[in-house]
Parts: sequence; structure tokens; C-alpha cells
Amino acid sequence: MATRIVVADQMSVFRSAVRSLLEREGDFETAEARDLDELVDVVERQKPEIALIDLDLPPAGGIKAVVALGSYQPITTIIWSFEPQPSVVLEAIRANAGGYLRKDIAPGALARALRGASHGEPPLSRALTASLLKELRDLARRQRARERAASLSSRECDVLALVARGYGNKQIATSLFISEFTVKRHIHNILEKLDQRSRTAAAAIFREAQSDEEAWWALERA
Amino acid sequence: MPADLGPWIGARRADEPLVLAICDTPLLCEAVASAVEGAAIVRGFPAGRMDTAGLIAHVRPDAVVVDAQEEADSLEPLARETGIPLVHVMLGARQVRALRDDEWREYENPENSLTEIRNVLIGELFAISAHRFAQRSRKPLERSGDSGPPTGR
Repeated sequence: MATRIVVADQMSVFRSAVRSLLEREGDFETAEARDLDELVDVVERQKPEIALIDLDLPPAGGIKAVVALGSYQPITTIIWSFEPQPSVVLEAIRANAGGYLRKDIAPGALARALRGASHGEPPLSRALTASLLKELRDLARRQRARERAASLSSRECDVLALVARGYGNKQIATSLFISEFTVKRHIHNILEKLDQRSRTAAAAIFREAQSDEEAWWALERA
Repeated sequence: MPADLGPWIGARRADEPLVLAICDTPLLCEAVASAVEGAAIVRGFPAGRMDTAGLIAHVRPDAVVVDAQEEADSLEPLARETGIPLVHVMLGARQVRALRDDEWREYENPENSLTEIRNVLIGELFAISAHRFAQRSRKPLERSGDSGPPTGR
């Protein structure tokens, strides 16, 4: 029995390529969608087993499309894109995508990946798996850092944010309108709570605890 | 020869134009092959992995399709020299451009439409075919204009 696949991609080049490839393979039935509305329509009418979804699918992107298809189980959703970032791959997996493929995949490999997906094998290349594992390890490290940083008071966080920015005690005191003695006391408490010996190590934990954007936002706010 | 691309997508008739697709994105070869099916035969090769100029000299295609800037840059002199149409599909920039008569003609392709790519490629194949036909038919005309006796060549 043929595996039904919908290719959701705004680029007709890719829709046509996948259709052409899978028709030649013989054990697939292919449908196409240009955006989320068409994808939902195809899923409702044709009930495909697999949806291959472009990361940039209009109007809101492929990950939102994966979420939208959550209520149409069982369907395996696979995101694909050029040069995927590990954080994006992780976001897709967290959104319940069943796999992630690169758009520069060779045709034969794509057919094998889709065939595997139809048998329950998550399509994820070795390179993507490795970067995904690294991202998970980084995430776990950031989580541990966040847990440690959670013991700090709001004022200690302000002080640590400035330490991470490279400020000296005097600059911190001026920025926060407190005495240098108070800054030293805060730093002593920060090092004790984080179980660190140096302000550099404490600053590293602060950076780990924040995503880049959050860290910069906190620094700007300080 | 990469097994996944396969040497030929479809079988070639003797009178069918041959297009060489040298792509970073192998699925583009697949798409181009399906788009020009019946009008041309497409042979796909991965970009940046071989002596493409040597390959073109050996295969003598009627047109070349590339999707990588580096490949377009490296093949441009050869395309200018030989007159082989060079079609550059710029997926990122959502444009298609074709090198003909020593100049790049650019076409917007906001949705990376295969139809647009096909139209450009077929247009280039038609243009090269018309050019060759004109060259062939010009030769007898030039000879008929000669006032001297036939050379007997």
C-alpha cells in the first residue's frame, strides 16, 4: 500500500522535485500544499501519513504548522530547511515534529528517510542528531546554571549582570547608586550562593543561565 | 558518480537537448528534470566536487544549470567562450539569471517557481538552437554570394 505524503512548501521547485522523485519510487502518493491553509485542507481530505513541511511555510512558519497539525494524529510531521540551526531543530522536535531534514538532501536519501518515517523511524541525519545532542547538553547546562542563579536576590542579579559586563566594583556602585562596600558584600554573597571562587566564574554562570537575548536584555536594563 | 543522483534522469533521444545540472541542492536537478521532461534530458552532478569545466567540455551539453554562486562564477568564462547557455538558479535571492550573448539576464522568481525556471531554461535552449540553425543556414548564403569559382572543398 502506498504511503501518502503531503509536501508543504511555498517553493514550487521543491514540491515538484519531491513529487517527481516519489512518483518514480512508486510506493508513495504525493499531494502538495503552498501554505498552512492548503496543508490543513489536504490533511483533512486526504489524511496523509506524512507531512514534509518547509521551515518557512507561510504564513507563520513550519513549526507553527506542526503545532496546528497536532490535532490531526496520527500524522508524522517532518520539517525541512536549508542549513538548520540546532536550536531550531530542537524547537521543531519540541513542537512534536517527527524529524528534521536538510533541503540539500540527495533524492535517494530523501526517499529512504520518508520510507523509514512511514515505518516509525525518525528522519534525522547523523550530523543533525549530533548537533541536537549538543544542543540538549547545552540546554541542560543552562538549566543547571539557572537553578543555581535562582537562589540570588533581585539585587544580587543586578550586581552579577554588571559583573558579567566587566564592570569593576566602583562602576557597579555608581550604576546602582549603592556604596562600594555594599557591592563587595553582594559579590561575597553571590560567590557563596553560587559556590564559586571568582567573579569571572560567577559571571560565566550568569551567562549560562540566560539565553543570549535575555542576558543582553538584562545587561541593557542594568 | 554519486549513486543518489544517478547518471541520467530518463533516457535520451538523439535529437533531445542535453542539460547539465550542477547543483548544491540535488533536488533542484530532480525538479529541473521533471520540468523539462519531453523537451530536454537532464544529467545531474553535485556542485563543487569535480572539474566541472572538464566535465562540460567532455559532455558538451546544450545548456548548464547551476545553483551555487561559486559554480556560476567558475563556469562563466567557459560559457562565454563556448556560447553554452548558463542558467543560474538563485534559490536564496529568489531569482533566475541566464548568461547569453555575453550578458546576464535576470528574472525575478519570488516564489522560486519551477515554471519560471523552466521558462528561462527552455528559452535558452530555444535561443541556442535558433542560433545554431542561423549559423548553419548562413554558410551556404555566404558561399552563394562569392563571385569566384567554387573551391572544390
